[in-house]
Amino acid sequence: MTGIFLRRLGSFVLTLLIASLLIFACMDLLPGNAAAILLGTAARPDTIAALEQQLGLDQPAYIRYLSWVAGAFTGDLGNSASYGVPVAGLIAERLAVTLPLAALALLLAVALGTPMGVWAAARWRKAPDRIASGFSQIGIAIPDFWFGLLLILTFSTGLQWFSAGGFPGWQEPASGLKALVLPAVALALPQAAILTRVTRSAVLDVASEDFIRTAQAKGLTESRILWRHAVRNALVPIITIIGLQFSFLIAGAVLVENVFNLPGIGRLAYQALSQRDLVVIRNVAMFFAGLVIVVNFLVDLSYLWLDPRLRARR
Amino acid sequence: MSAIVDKPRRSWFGPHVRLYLGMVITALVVGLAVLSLVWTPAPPTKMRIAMKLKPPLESGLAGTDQFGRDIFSLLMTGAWNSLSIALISVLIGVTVGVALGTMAAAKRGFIEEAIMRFADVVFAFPAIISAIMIAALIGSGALTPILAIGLFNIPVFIRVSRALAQRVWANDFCLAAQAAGKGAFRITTDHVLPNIAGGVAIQATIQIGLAILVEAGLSFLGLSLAPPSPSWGRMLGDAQTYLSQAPWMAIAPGIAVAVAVLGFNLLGDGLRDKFDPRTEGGA
Repeated sequence: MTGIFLRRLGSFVLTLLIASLLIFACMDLLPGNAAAILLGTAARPDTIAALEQQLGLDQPAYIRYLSWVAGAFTGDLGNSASYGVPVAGLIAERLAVTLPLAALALLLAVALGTPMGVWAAARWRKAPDRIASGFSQIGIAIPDFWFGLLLILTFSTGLQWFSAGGFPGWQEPASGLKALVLPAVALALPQAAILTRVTRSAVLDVASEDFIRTAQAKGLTESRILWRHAVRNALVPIITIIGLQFSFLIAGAVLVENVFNLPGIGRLAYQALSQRDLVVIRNVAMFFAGLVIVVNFLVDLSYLWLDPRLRARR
Repeated sequence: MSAIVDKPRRSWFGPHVRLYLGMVITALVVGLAVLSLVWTPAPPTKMRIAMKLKPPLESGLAGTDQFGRDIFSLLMTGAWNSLSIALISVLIGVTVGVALGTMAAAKRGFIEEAIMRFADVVFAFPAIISAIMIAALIGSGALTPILAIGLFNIPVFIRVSRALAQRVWANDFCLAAQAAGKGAFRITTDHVLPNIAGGVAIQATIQIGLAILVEAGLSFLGLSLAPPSPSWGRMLGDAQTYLSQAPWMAIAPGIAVAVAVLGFNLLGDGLRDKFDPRTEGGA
């Protein structure tokens, strides 16, 4: 058990390390010079040199990399060139929008997708299965940002129940939450569709195992077999997808935040690109990649907890 | 409920229904895209200010946009652009991914571990984040989505081809080939690749659907083809400005994306059900 844990921990740290090196190599080494990019083509060489010194670009690459990594631990990620404020604070401020948005979307997706998948599996080949299958095929194909536009058309310009975008802040939690409803629904639709599909096939896979027959032979009620035995044993693939979805929701937020004009981290990444703010792009990219890696690691660990059979393996 | 203890292998939305529906939709989308090279109802990039923001059927099948361009013609040309970017990026993923995946299956040990770790790292970058980083380096244009989506497909094909190749390696004919003195490379080219080609092609079909979806998102943000080349995503981006005035501008390109993605997904699922029932499991 400890052996497996240490192995997973080791590969987790290694993956993070390689990802950070990759981002550093792309953002700091390849384009030649961040100072020149910031100042544009018309900049004079001495202005570029002065900014280089100010940004610490005159230091050797390995020193710059190490100070970036050290900064990640102390919360000092450098200053944004376009906003003129510390990047760490900027990311934290934007997360106050993106995290609740992703959490709300995930909640909606799980609340819709899991029961629908179980329902489809329990009524396999009957009408509910057909409905769930159709829903998941179409839900997966619909772009979430387009669904967001349709929601704005229906509920903002049409019915005028919600505003078409923008975020009032968290001073009034109710109006803040209301601003996140439509974007969360837009983000949740494709994820609910994927979750329906995965839940259905996970439950069906378990349903052909011997212990289900045993449970049936014991005379357990159908709903007890379904929930206590089939669904419980189907949890590993379901949890994997839910874990992956959280990171994809945060990334998908780049588009949906732009549709709804929400000041989240996805919109920050997009704005940083249009302002050529490489310091922000580098840190936001590391944030996204780090998030996926951390979530994968946690999902890996949850297997050990959910499925005792895996603890004995390897 | 009794259904749950039956042998649950085939879904109701049967392999044939899915396969044929997928084939018809894909053929339609590809057909319109190819047709756009020689014919469109109106010149797709020609601006006709007098005709601007006309609703569907009043001017053309799907109306006109803010410059009076015919939306249906834009959609047809957009299909070609979207499909070519999707196809090229998936091909990059297949080429690099299958090479590394089959190498991992053939070599095992340290090389396999290194390749799989590489897959984990690349997989940690959502396509949209890679696209933003790539656009910061080289600007936007067709190359940005191709590289970003291609990169994102590499770990997918590393995993798929490694899993498929491992199954082939477990066969007696591979053992026989080894005994006959064939090296790992020869066995991979002679025996493994022909046997995994079908599985890889099925995954590629599904990935093309996903690539169309991601490309639409990237061009919505302006990270793909530059104007005036028509693109579904940018049409949606433009439509946002005219949402209350001309809602049809927002509806048609979204339907185009959804239908194209649906077609490739159904086709991929249908093919998988038909040729590889072991991994069937889609809804």
